[in-house]
Amino acid sequence: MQTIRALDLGFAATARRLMKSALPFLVPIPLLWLVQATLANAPGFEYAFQNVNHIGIAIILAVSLNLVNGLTGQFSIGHAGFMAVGGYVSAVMVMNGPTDDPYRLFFLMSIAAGAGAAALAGWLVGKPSLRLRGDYLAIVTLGFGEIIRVAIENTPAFGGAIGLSPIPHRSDFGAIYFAAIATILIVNRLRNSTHGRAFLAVREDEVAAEAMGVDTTGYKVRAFVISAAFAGVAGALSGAFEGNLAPQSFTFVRSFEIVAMVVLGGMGSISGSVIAAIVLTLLPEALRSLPPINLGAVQIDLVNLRMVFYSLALIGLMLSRPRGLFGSTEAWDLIGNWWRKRRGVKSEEARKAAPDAGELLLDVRGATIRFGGLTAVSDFNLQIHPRELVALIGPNGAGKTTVFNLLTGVYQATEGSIRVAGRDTHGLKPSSIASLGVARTFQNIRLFRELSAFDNVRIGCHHLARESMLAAVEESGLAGIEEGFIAERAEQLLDVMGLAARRDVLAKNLPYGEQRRLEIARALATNPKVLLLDEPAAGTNTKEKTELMELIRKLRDRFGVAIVLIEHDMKLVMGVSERILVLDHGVTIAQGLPRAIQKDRKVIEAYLGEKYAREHAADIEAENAEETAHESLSPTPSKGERDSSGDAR
Amino acid sequence: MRLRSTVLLLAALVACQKQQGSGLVGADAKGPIVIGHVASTTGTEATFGTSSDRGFRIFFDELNAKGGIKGRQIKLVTLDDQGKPEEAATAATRLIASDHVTALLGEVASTRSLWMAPKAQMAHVPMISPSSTNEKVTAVGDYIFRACFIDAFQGFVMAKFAHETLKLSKVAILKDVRNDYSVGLAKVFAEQFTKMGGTIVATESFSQGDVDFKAQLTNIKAKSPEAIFEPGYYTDTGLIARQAKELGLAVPLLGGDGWDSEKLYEIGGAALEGSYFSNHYSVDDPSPRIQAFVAHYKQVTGLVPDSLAAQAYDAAGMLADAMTRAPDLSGPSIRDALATMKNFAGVTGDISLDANRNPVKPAVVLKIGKGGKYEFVTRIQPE
Repeated sequence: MQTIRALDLGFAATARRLMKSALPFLVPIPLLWLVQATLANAPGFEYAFQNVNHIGIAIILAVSLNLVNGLTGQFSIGHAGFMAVGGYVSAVMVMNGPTDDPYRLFFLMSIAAGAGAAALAGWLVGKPSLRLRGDYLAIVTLGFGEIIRVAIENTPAFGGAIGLSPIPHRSDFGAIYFAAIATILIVNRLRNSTHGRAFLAVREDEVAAEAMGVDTTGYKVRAFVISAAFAGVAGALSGAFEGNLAPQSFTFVRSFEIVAMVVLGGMGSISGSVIAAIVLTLLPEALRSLPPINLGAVQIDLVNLRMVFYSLALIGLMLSRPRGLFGSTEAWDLIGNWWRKRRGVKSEEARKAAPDAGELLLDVRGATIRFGGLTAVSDFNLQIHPRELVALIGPNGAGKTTVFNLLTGVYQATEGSIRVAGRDTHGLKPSSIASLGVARTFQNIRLFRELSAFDNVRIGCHHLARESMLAAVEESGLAGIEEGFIAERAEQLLDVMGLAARRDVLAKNLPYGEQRRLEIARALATNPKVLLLDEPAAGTNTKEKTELMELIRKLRDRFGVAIVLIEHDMKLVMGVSERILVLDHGVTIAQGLPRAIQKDRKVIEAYLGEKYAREHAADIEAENAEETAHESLSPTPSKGERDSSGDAR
Repeated sequence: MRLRSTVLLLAALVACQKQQGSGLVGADAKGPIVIGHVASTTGTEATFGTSSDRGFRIFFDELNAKGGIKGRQIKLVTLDDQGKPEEAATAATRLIASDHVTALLGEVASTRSLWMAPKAQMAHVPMISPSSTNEKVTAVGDYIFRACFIDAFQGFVMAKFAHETLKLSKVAILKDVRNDYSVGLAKVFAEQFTKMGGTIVATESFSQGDVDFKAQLTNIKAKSPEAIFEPGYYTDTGLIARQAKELGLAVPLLGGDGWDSEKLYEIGGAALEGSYFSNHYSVDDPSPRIQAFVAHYKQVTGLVPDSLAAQAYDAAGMLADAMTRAPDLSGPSIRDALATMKNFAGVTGDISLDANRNPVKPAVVLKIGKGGKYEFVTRIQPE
């Protein structure tokens, strides 16, 4: 009895959950049906609905392309090609399928097949080309679109150049708008999930995204495949609505029109894409009504210039709003801001991670990397135990950042081995190494500039999310719990770094010192065992440096992380680190306790300089005397610091 | 700001639709008769649309000067489709639903005619394409007509020309297998030529875009034909002519209107001289109707009419003839009048419509002369 009831409950809960996630898709159906039944076929509305349906198809295309070009920041100009694939696959199925299609079930199947074929095409095109950056994808997609078109023109089964007709009219206003609404809902839900933030992270900074544990190539391919599938749906609906498909519809001009919608609407703004799809579909039609101008004897038909006006309007819109109509925000966010209450920021102690003290977190042995003939780092050895504070110093160009890049997998070592928590990292992607517990900050801050502080940290929590993309689209229970957990953790970290009040500020608008702290918060969000800080004090003032010193110790104590620090500020280095490695021309010239390094002749010659040694000689002597007496590890403020703090006052 | 501009745009669209709706010029009103024309007046095929629009306007201006039809003037509304199929469909819908046109003219390209045709058929508005030669266009429905012969007819024309004018008995065929047009012409040519008593000595194939035809031409040479029927497009034809000459295959090539391009002679050069192809019309045709049309066209526009203009002029003529004969200007009446058209005296020849609403009309055969000049040879009448 009990088991049955439990099952029952489970079923009821599942049904409730499914219902909740499907409800937004179902709500518009009665309205769509009503419009379809009353207006769509009514005499006098043919022209209106011809345009309305074109808009619907344009919305599907623009919103889905936005996933690639807007959210993920890739530049695809082959969307019409994927549309063609979906359209032709569906049309060939429907034309060879049953003539009678009750409830349009076979048509639905053909749409699914079209979407699947387009997705497959997307995978085939995306997989090899998305590994590379920049313009490469644009060229490949452009080529793909043209190849598809030429292939269709030369395939008799697809109707050749004349096109495919007559395709049974199975698509109508209701079908097109149901698909358009579904596209908007799905893309919006994806964007608001951890996967959506991963897309944004890829757009903002691929290196930083990898460092946060985001598999950038994987996410690019995913965005591309999903986007292609939607384009396939649009193609299938378009063919069954017009009753015709022709290769001339899928030229690169069509692809550019869709790109124009995404750019005009605002990269990453779904509502922007929708509105741009409406505007750019209606504009050429509306311009048909341009009146002729009478200049005495000469009459100028402005209608002949309508495409000129169209282009001018496009240029004008882009000049007045260079970031698109909505930038990267949404129409509904603007409305939502009216009544949204700011949530109180919770402040809780972050849980302390307590790794096994005997474990070797980082074990680098004989790591060497050469670029061509140049050996950037040679025979580098480093062992990091839990909760250690180690500094890496040396003159500019000594190879310090290269060491970080080796540790995080940005570069592969030419020789030697690097083990993280006992695992050899050879051949691993940066995102995989990040998930082993190595997090970093960057010398030249690499925040996701266009995202808020909160979102930057949430991307750092990427590894915590287990929700599938499907769960994100369903907005199912698990995804909700995860989102809540991620949000809570992100807020805690912001609080620890003193950034709680800056939660919703875009990263690029934060002052320099806060950007540095946000980068650390983001790195901590990945739940690292080792934190690599690349010149955290660069560009900060004396007061901030003192705070930073406190902060670094606090991070170690509170989060139990080991910290490796690259820094030129000797006061900070000497003050905070327990062990120092000195690099010069890629070679480790010294390593040991801070006071030993300060006296080391080789280090003084290569890096610190005689002046430093003279100025600090007295301090070092004093320090030595003091430390032999107390065996204290806490650093003593040096003379330099007293002086400069005096200057600051 | 952006919302307001969108709303304004929508309002403008609704307003212009209203405006057109209120100026309702239906079949029974007393104002001008509105005829719609969908054409590519911009885009890569802009010359097509502009040429046919000139042909239509010259005809209707003449007609209006003579008093119009049933005492009413003709108003031609031309909408541009930029050469895009979906815009052709939208433009046709707009002309039918908002401008309430009595009949629809266009398009030149078969693909775009195919996108317009369902709209006209559904609304029972007669549509005449001036120059779409693909068979499928008029098959869309019984309201769809055309003013030009269909592709395959040229197979018959060239068979008759080879047999009767050139008095040939052995011809080889070289066709583009990937092109429906080429395959269709070759099929009809082979049937007709054999029926007339000739022999097809060899049939060879190529694919559009091939650059080496020597294997096929060598096979053909072995059968020593008197001519080669090669119904391809101009690029392939130019290359084939050159390579045939290189192989010492000195027989004329015969082809269809796919050859008609300035590029043909650029590619083929002197090797093409002495070859023949069929076409819709020739300015050099001594027929008095054509010479009168050419003179009139030159006088009005200052240009020599191309075949698109001549066909448009005939399409308008067919429509006007049907509207004059029809008891009223409703779609079904005009349709019935068009369907029964017999021996309409067009500039490109006498036009009758067959059961599939395709014209039965003469074609011209042109010879490529010295320096690539087209010389009018003869006019081939249909059976």
